Amino acid sequence: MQKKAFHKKLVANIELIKQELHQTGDLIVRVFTISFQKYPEIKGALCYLDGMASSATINSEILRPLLLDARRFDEPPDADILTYLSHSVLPAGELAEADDLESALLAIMSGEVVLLLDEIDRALTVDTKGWDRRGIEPSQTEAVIRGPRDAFTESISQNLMLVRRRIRDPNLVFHRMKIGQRGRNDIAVAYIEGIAKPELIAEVKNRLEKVDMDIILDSGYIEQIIEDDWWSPFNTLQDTERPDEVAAGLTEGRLAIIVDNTPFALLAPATFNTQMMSPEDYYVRWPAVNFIRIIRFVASFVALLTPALYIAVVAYHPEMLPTQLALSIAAAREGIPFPSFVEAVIMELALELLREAGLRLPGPIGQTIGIVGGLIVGDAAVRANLVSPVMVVVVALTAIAGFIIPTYSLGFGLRVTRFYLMFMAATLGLYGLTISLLVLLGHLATLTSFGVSFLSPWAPLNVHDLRDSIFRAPWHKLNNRPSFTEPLDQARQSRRSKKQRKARKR
Amino acid sequence: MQKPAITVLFIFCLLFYGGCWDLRDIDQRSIVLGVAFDQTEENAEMMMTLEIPLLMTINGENGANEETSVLLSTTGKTPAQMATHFERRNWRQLFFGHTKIVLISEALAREGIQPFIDFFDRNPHIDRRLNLVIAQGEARTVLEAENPREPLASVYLKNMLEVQAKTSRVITRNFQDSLIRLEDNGDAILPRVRATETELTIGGGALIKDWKLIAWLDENEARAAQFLHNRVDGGRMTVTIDTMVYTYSILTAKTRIRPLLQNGVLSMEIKIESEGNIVEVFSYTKDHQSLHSIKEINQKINQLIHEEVMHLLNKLQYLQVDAIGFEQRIRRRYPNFMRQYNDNWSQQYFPTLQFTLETDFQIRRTGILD
Repeated sequence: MQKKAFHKKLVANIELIKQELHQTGDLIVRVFTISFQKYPEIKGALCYLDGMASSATINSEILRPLLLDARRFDEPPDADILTYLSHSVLPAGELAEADDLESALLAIMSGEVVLLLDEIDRALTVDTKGWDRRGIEPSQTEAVIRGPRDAFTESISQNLMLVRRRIRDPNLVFHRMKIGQRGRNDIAVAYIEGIAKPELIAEVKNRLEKVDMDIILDSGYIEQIIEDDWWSPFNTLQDTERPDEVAAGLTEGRLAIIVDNTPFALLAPATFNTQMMSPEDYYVRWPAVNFIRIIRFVASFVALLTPALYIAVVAYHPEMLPTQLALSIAAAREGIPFPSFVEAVIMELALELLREAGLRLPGPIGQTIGIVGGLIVGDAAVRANLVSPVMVVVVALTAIAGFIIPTYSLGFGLRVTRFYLMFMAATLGLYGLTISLLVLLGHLATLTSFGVSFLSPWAPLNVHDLRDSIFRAPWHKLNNRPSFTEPLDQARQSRRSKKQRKARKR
Repeated sequence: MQKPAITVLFIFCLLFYGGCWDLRDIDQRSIVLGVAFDQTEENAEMMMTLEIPLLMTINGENGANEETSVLLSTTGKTPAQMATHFERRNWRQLFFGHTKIVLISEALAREGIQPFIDFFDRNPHIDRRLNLVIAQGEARTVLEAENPREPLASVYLKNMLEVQAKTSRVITRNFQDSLIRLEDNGDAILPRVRATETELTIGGGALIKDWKLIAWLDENEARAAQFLHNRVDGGRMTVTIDTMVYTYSILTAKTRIRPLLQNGVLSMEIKIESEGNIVEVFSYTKDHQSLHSIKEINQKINQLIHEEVMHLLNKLQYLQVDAIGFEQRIRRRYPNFMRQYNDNWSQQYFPTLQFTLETDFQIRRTGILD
C-alpha cells in the first residue's frame, strides 16, 4: 500500500486529515500564526482529539512557545523550520517527525498532537497524551496480606513504570508493538536480556507479530490467540495484575506481555505449578508457606473431586463409607426425590449461579445475594427435601476449596473439569472417576506452554525445580532460578558457604 | 478436526450403553446391619432375621424412645431364597455392605455353617471384617436384646467384640480370618454370644469341626485359644498364693508355634512370651506384710497359663479338632512328612501329637506405691 503524503498547503493538509477521519466530532483543529522577530509569519495548525490529549500540556508546551516565546527568537538559521522548532522551540519531551499521513493519523489516535505548518509537507507529532486514568489501587483478584499492594492499571505506561521501578536493570527490555488493524493497541513484551532464553523471546515476538485481530481489548485476546492448546479448559499463559508477580517472573527468565487498556498482564511460559503459587509465598517465612502450599494443593483436589466422589460413593459404593456415616447420609437422603447425581448437579449449578450473580450485581446487592442464596435458599432447599444436608456440606466445601486456588483462570479450569468428573462418576462410579482422572492427567501432561510441559516440574520430573513446587525451600537453598525456563544466567544469588552462614549466626 | 469429535461422541454413547447398571443410591438400599439364622419348628426350613435401621429416626430428631431399627424375619430353605423373600416384600434392594454381624444359632450350627458362609463369601460387597458369631440358644433373641447406650444391636455387638478383645476372653476372629481357617480343614474356633432377657454376654468360643459346632469353650479356654491364635491384646489374670491374690495385667503377648521333626518324631514347640503389670494385690487377711517376691508370682502366673493352654490342647486333641491349624504349619515345614497322612491326620496323628509348651510371663511394673 502506498503511503499517503502531505500536501504543501496547510489548508489542504487540514482538509486531508479531516477527510481521513471522516469529519469525526472529537477532532480539534487549532489554527494559529507564528510570528518571529525577523521572519515572515508562518501559518500553522494543531490537530488532536478532544479528551485524548491534555489541553494543559498543549497550552503550556506547544501554544505558549509557538505563539508567545517564538517572538523572542531570532529568525531561524538555514535549517528547516520544522527541525528548528523541534530542536529549539518546543519544550516537549517526546517529539517526532511524521513524513506520511498514516503515522500522523496514528499519532492523533494515540492522543498526540500533530503540528502542521504551511508550505511544509511534513508534520511534527508531540506527545501530549493526557486522558483521565484510574489511580493505582490494590489488587482485587490476587490480594495478599503480606506484600506490596499496588496492582496494574489500564494505562500501559503506568504498568511499565510499575515493573521498571522494581527492576532497575538496564537489561530489562520493553519491546513495544502495536497490534490490531483498527485498535492499533499498544502492547509491550517485557523480558530481561541475559536471563530469558533468546529462542523464547523470538518465539513470543513471532507469535505476537502474527496476531491479526482488529482490536485487542484485553490481554485475554492475546492469550487465546497465541497459546499452544486452544481446546483445553486450562490456561497455558498466566494472567496477573500484580507487578511484583511480573517482576518475579521476569527474573525467573519468563516473559511478560503487558497490554494497554487492561490491568492484566500475561506471563509465559506458565505451568500448573506456577499458577498454584501466590506472590505472598515468597514474602512469608518458608515453614508457614509449606503448610499453606500443602493446603492449597489439597484444596485443588477437594475442589475438583468432592462432588464426584460423593456421587460415586453414595450411588455405587456405599460400603466404602464408615457405617455411621453411611447411615447418616442414607437418613439425610431419605425422601429426596432426585438421584444423587441430579442432586449434586442442581447444587453445583446453584453454586455457579450464585457466584455469577454475585459478580454481576453491584457491590452491596451482591453481598445480599450471597446471603440470600447461600443461607436462605440452601436452608430452604434442605427443609423442602430438595437436597440433602450432606450435599450442602459437599457444595460448600467445593466452593471454599475453589477459592483457595490463587489464580482465577486455573480455578475456572478446575470448575469446568469438575462437572466432567461428576458425569463420569455418575455413569461408571469410582471406576469412571479413576478413568476420568487418568484421562485428565494425560491431558494435562500433553499441555505445553511455549514448549514447557504444563505439569513441570513433576512430569517430566525436574528435581531442581521441585524445591519450589509443593514445597518452597528457604531462600538460601534457592540459589538458582527455576530451570524450566532455561535461563541464560542461572544464579539468583551467589552460594553462601556454610562457614559464612555460621559466622553470621554468631 | 471432525474425526476426534466423532470418536469422543462414540465414547460418550458407550458410557450410556454400559454405565449405570449397578447405580443405586444409598437411600434406595436396605442397609442390613445384622443377620441372624435360626431353626424353625419345621426342620426343613430355617428363619433369617435381618436388622435394618429405620432411616427416618436414625438422626434422633423424634426423641430417643423411638425404634431406630426393625427386625424382619422370613423362612425359607436357603439364605439366598430368604433374601429373595425379603426383596419381594420390600422395594429396596438388600445391601450387605455394612453388615456387622452374622449370627448362627446353636441348633443350626450343629448341623453345619457352610451354607451361610457361602452366601456371604460370594457377595462382593460385604465387609470381610464382619464377625461370624455362634449364638448359644436362639440367634434372633440376640438382635432383640435392648441396649440403651447403642440402639442398633448389631453395631453394639460389633463394638462389644472389639472392646472385649482387650480382655482376651472373647475370640477375635473376623469373617476373613475364620474363613481362612475353615477353608483349610473345616475346623475353627468362632466367637460365642449368649442373650438373656436383659443383656448380651460375649465371651468364650464355639468349637467347629468339619463346619459343624461340636463344643463350647468357656472364657478361660477362649483365652488359651487367643494365646494360640497370637491374638492376645490385654486382659487380666489372677493368681492366689497363700492368702494373697495378685492380678496380672497383660501389656504385650506373643506366641510362636513351630513344628519340630526330630528322629522321625514330630512335636509342636509353642512359646508364649508376655510382659505385664501388677495392678492389684489383695489379701483376704488384710495383711500386707507377707508379700511374695516377683519371682514367685511370675512362676505362679506361668504355671496358670501353662495349665490353661495345655487344658485346651488336650481338649482339642480329645475332640480331634485341629482348630489352630497345626497341620497346616507342619505341612508347610515338612511337606514330605505330611504326605503319609492324607485325609486321616486329625483322627490318626493329631490326638497323639506332642506339645512342648514354654511360657515366659514377666512382671515389668508393680504400680506406684508410696
